[in-house]
Amino acid sequence: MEIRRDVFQAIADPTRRSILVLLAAGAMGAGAIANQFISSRQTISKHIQILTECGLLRQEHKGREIIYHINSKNMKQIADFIEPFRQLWEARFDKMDTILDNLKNTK
Amino acid sequence: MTTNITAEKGKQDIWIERSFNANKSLVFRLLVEEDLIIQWQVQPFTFKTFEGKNGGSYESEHIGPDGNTYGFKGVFHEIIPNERIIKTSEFIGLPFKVIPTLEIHSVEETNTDQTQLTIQIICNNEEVRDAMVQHGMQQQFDTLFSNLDNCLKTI
Repeated sequence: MEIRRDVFQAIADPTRRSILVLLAAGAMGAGAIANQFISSRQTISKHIQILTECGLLRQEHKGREIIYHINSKNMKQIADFIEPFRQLWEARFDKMDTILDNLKNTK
Repeated sequence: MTTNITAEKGKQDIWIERSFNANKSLVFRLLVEEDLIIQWQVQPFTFKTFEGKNGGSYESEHIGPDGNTYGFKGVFHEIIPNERIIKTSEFIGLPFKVIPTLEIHSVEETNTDQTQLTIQIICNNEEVRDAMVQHGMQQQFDTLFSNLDNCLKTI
């Protein structure tokens, strides 16, 4: 099987999502990113590599260091970005409907 | 019932609106009573602390399908019965600290037995807001993404 490299693969992993959240707050080098995690530097470096290959991170060379930025253009590709958020709330609200019906019946 | 979600560009808040076929006192109970709140969360979900009163704190815990523990903690700044709740909410479970959001939940009776719930979530900046909408709220995403993981495996 050919290894898939797309935005969905990138965000399917919790550590990679955490890296994205971290970088959303500001660009950082690989070392600084790794310092925020308990996992080994190599593991984090692998995650950064996958995120970069998936086009979610943009590299900026600053002297000998590489600074990673969120590639906001490709983040938008996470189609209808609000959709999973909406699904969460809809699922919760549907449950609330059921609870409200039960409460009304027990009055 | 449709859920309206608005996250305008250039702003740092999210608006969530939904109508319910019940009076506002019933809808309000679902927002402040511990056992009722638990019922409408993604399971397994528990409260480690819950004090549904002015100045009371809460801390929730959820175990995702990946075995990681997440949750939210915060303080009920103000509870005006059958009207409004103002609380803070800090996402727990990331390897670093995030700044809590301020949440305003209000209920308004739009008709007999019809109540509109409006939730405004205010973040400290637009990027954090977008990150939260996109991928910060891991609790629900884990269910979605574990499905996505399985789909990817079968491709």
